[in-house]
Amino acid sequence: MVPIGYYLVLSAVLFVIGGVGVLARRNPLQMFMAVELMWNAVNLSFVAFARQYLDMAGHIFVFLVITVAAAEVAIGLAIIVMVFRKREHVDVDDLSLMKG
Amino acid sequence: MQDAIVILLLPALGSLIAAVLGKSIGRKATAYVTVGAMGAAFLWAFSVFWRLLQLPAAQRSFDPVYWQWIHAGALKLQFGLLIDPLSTTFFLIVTFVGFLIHLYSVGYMHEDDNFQRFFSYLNLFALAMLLLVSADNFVFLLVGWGGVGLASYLLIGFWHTRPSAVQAARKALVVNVAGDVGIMLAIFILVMTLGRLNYAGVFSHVSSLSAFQVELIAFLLYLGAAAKSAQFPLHVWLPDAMEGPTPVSALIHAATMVTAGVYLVARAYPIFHAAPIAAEWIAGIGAFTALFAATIAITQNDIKRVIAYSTVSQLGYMFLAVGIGAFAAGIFHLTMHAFFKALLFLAAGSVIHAVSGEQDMRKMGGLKKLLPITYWTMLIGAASNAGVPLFAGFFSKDEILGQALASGHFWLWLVGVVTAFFTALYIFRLIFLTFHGTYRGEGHPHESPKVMTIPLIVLAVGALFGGYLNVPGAWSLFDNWLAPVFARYPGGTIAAASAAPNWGAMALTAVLVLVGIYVAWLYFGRGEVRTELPEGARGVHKVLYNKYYIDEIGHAALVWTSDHLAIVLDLFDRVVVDGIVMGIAALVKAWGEALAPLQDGFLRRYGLAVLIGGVAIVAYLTLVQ
Amino acid sequence: MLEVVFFLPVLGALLLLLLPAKAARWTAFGVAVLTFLLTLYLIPAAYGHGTGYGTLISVPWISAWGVNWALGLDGLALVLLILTTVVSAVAIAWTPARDRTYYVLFLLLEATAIGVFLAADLFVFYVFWEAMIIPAYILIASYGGPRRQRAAIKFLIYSLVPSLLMLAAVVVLGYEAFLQLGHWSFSIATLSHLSLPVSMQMWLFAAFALAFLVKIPTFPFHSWMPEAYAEAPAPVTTMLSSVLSKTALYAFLRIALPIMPTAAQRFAPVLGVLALISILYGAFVALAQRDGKLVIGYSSLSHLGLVLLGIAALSYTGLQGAVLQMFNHGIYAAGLFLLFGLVEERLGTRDLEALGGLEARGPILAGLFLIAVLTGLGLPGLQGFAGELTLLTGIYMAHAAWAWIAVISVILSAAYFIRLFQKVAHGTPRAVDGAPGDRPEIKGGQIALIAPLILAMVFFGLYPAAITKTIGPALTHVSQSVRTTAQGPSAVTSEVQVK
Repeated sequence: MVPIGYYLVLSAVLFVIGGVGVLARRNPLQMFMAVELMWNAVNLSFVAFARQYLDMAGHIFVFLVITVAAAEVAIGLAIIVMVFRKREHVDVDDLSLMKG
Repeated sequence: MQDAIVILLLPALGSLIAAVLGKSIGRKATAYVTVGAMGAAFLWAFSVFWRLLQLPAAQRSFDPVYWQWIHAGALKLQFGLLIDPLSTTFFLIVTFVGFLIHLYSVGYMHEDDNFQRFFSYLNLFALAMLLLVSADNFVFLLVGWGGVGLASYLLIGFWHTRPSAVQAARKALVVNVAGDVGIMLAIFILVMTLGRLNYAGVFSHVSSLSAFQVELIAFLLYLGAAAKSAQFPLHVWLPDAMEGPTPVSALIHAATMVTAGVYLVARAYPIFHAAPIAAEWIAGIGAFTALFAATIAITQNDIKRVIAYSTVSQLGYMFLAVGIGAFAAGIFHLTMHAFFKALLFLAAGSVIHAVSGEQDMRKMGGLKKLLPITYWTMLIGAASNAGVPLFAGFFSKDEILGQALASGHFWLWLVGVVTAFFTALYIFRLIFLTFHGTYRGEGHPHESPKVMTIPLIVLAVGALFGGYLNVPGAWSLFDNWLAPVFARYPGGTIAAASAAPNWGAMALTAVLVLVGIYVAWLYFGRGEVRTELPEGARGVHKVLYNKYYIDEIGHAALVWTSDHLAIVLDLFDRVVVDGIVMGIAALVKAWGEALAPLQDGFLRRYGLAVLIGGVAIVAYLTLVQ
Repeated sequence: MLEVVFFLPVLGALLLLLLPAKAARWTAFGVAVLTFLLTLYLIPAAYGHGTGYGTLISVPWISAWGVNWALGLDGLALVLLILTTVVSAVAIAWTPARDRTYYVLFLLLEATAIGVFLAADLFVFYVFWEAMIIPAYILIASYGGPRRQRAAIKFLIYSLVPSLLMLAAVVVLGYEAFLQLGHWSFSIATLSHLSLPVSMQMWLFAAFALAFLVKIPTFPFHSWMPEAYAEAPAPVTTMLSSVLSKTALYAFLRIALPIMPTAAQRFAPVLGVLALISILYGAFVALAQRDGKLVIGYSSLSHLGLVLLGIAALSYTGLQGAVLQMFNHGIYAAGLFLLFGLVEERLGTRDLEALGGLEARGPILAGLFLIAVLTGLGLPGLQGFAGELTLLTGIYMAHAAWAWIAVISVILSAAYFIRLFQKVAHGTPRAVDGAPGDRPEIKGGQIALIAPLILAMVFFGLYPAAITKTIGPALTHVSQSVRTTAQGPSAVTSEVQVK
């Protein structure tokens, strides 16, 4: 059996890659993919802990996260498409109408 | 005597009809209704008087109660009327003189656009005045008191497009309200100490009050009386009140309303008897006011102002009387004064009417031939006012002076006697300037119509013969009529009242009056206006002509101060109170604006902030704890 | 029947939405009149056998928290109910409005105010108290003058912030009932039998009092008043001054005094001083105003200060005077605001320096305005006087010094009200361009509308006992609850019994 530490290290690496992706990319689609990566990093550690402690709560949370992530992507993509239609290109640094 | 309220209801109805229906029923019908209401009220008052006369003296007092006015804790009161010789006397004066003045006004006001409104106000005044003198408690006294103040305000400001009339009306109302407050405070103390407000209850328990309480109540009541009856220094509104139409000056500001203060002191005599300091004060201020106003009257050129100051002066006499406890004498002078002063004003009105609105005596003169009825009636009024022997004013004024001397108030007597000299001087100056010499004005003066001259003649009869109700050394019908009122509670009669008349003092006054008339003749007898003054007299004249600058002092002390305090507080309200609130709002806004740049719109920077925050929390949880 | 008084205007508001807009004004008026007639019908229901409510309806609402939909009617509530319904009926039909939403909101404002006066449960009271703010806010914000938004926001914030404190106090009281009785309760009668520690009473009283003082308003919490009164349309200002301010004074009598009697006694001097400042401050500031509406507004600050002083005196006579004057002020303030609103409408300005000459061109309007002004300045014989006299008597009996100071305002009152009247009515006629200034006279329909108010000014001046007898039993109850728990030196003054 693979020790839990391996899963956690993988999860952390995925999370950091996702985090850097969010911060470094300017295309919202790429940012979305990075965010998905972060979600999955978290899912991975949930599943790992669930297996470790034989507790179903972790699995339940994963399903919840997957659902929420799907909903989020649906809304997010819709917004991105709308923005693209209006502006012809999408760059998050240009989207600053709501700044204080 | 339950029906006595009809005397009040008649003018109330008249006023209402004139106000609501006046425009639709027209001038003539309005005149009939309102004048008729006063006439009917007089007849009813006379019937009350007649019925009282049939009863034995001790039973001439009724207290019909109509309804429960209020019942709120300690304040509990029924509305009732007090029908006794004193209130009946006032009923007769108010309705009789009122009727004559209403009649006169029909002629005087016939061209005015607001004829109906004027008569509505006049009837309203009559209602309030009748309530004032007949209420059986202090609260409804105050209701009448406020009501006459209101009517006076409305009538002074009747010609409301004149700024000076508006100003005068406002001044009159505010001074009078200040007086009302005095009575109101007295009412609080009465409720607090005795729990009673009707006269019978209060007067029979005066002895249970402490000396301080009685003095306080007496002074507060006097504050109201002094404001209404133009006692120094609250007299300032009365001369200005001459801005109103002349019949108003005659009815309200001479014959009836301004004497309400005297009525109050006479009615509340058990309180004033128990408050010797207040009583002395009233008498002293009265004597001072008499002299003070008489000296001002000598220098005034406006015919109505001279009579106005004369009224202030005569009111001083009345207060002198009630202050020393000569209540009946005070009321007697009040009654006689109602006749001759109403006469003087109406005659002055007739003159003003004749010379098309001119009031300056320097532009009159020589009217004797042109206005014979006015001249002769006014001469009778002047003689009565001056106290020329055998005229009404002589008997009533002399009774006061005689009682002052007999009760040991030598200095007050002396002031009164000196004032008698000045009185003769100023009133005959008026007669000579107006009627003698040659006419100095423009146009062609003409005698007034009958509707105006008949009231003059009737009043002149009163001013001639009224005094014979009380003839010193012979009989005193008037005093005996009032005697039961002042016998009810202790303190109503002074010992001196029964003393034999002091013929020497009387003769002295009479001589001084005649000398006064002679001096007036010397200076003004040829009906010429004297402009040159002896060197030494100029300063005195200036002070007198400017009424001792009391108006200016009062204005600076009260009006200026309160107006400026108001402006300062208004600024305070806008700047400080509202400023603090708006300041808090601005502070919140400033915070928001200071923090707003953090939301710079760069999504990735927000992400970094979230990341740093998350790392910081994790670091804190792992490292610190 | 009691709940019908509340539901009738609400149903009327719903009905308005269905009817054509043209019919809105008179339908709303009809509903308001019907509500008024219903309150008259309820007069016998206000009298019970004891000192409590004559009629009490209580239906479980949120049973887990012990909240009941409880409405009660006694003499005290009745007087204010009559005031609310009569003023609402006159005000709602006074001027034609732009659309029917105005009438819907107006009826809702009336309904919520009725709810406040009838509430016998603290929670219900709080709900109505808050609900009242909403229609008032929208009415100011949508139908007011040029600076209406700012005025409305100020009114809203001023109303909401202290209400939050009050909510906290309401919850604490309910929880305290749970601790002491074992079940939650918000019934005002139940709460007034709790024994609350003094320190807690003090905090609770402060929270309630703050909300009430803002709404009256009282110095120094009045700065929403000038703008809201000036910007709101005249009928809405009328409701703010005649009705909404009374809800706060009423709440002192209904809630603050019976539930927190000891704190009321401790706080009485503070309330008294604030009231005294309001009385004089309002009077002086009124003297300096150029905007006629604000003269009336600041006069309300002064006159309601006197009412508060009567409450703070905690004497039975003072309470009687306070309620009497609440009723009286409601009537004459309504008369003043409505009539002055008409003057503004006809002459196109509220600036006293620009107004003038009304007496020549609109003698009836000037005459009616004069009666209202005279009532306001407390002319003896009219309505304002009886209340003022009773109040000052009650205050004098408790604290003579307060009465000596407060009585100065009577003179100032005469000065600023007469100034107001003279600026409007006297002098030479003037009019602003574009206003229909040639014919400022009041029309027949409006005379009929205002007539009940004018008649009330005269009638209750001659017969104030009609009010004082009605409120007597309820106030005995209030003053006893304060007196029986009297602690310390500020115990209620014993009163002279009058035979």
